[in-house]
Amino acid sequence: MDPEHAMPAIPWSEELGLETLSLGDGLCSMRLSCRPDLTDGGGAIAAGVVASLIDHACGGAIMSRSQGLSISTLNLKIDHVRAPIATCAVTAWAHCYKLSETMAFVRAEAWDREPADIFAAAQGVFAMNRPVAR
Amino acid sequence: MTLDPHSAACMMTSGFSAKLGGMIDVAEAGAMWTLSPTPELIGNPIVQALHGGAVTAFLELASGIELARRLERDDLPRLVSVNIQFLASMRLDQLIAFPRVIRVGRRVAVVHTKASQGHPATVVCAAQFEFFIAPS
Repeated sequence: MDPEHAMPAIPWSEELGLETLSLGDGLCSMRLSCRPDLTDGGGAIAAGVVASLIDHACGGAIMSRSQGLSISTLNLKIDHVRAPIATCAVTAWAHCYKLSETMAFVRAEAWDREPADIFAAAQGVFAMNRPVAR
Repeated sequence: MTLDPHSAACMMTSGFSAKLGGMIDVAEAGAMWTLSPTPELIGNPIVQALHGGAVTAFLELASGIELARRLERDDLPRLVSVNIQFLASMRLDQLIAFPRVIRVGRRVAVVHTKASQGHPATVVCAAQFEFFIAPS
């Protein structure tokens, strides 16, 4: 799936500068460059920004399988297993491992330098919304 | 923005908290945080709903600063884990968060935070945060 055209324009993701690297078959990878207005006190990407990246990557993973239905986050659990490296771009990878008519279940991880050395792990449940009547 | 010196110092130590801070007011000695969201925080343009990640960031900031205030620290404690439930869609309107420090141990502190829109009894979001507070 062409990442440039697969995800709808979302103001918050544009504000953060989220970049979709790959999308398809229930998988989504997104990247975020480090900017001063996105950092914590140590100069690394702030945890709140990481939450936004992970939430958005989870949404992308689901939408790659859901054929245009909108979704809502029901819950999200994020463990920050270490601090991200200062000034380093971060990447999140999300996998929608189960999708039904009403629910989607997703896992995600985030890393900075090496995919094998994650700094955050997450899982979440999303609701599949009915199409909005026009 | 009305903040005590410790909370104000925390807010300004981070580029991201300063970015969100322009949309935030604090009242009742840190017990009530009001986010007046701008359209940049939208996650669903069709229904004009706030992005779950943006809401998580706001609640985390409120929780971290409330904990720092309680501990009389000038820096934000490191977040270890967040578990957040979205109970209703959050529209582009004032979101009010109520962080509550549940437990302060030797190494870890726990903060529970609820957020409402419209009527204070209408909880639209609830989160648990665990912060690492021991010197590292």
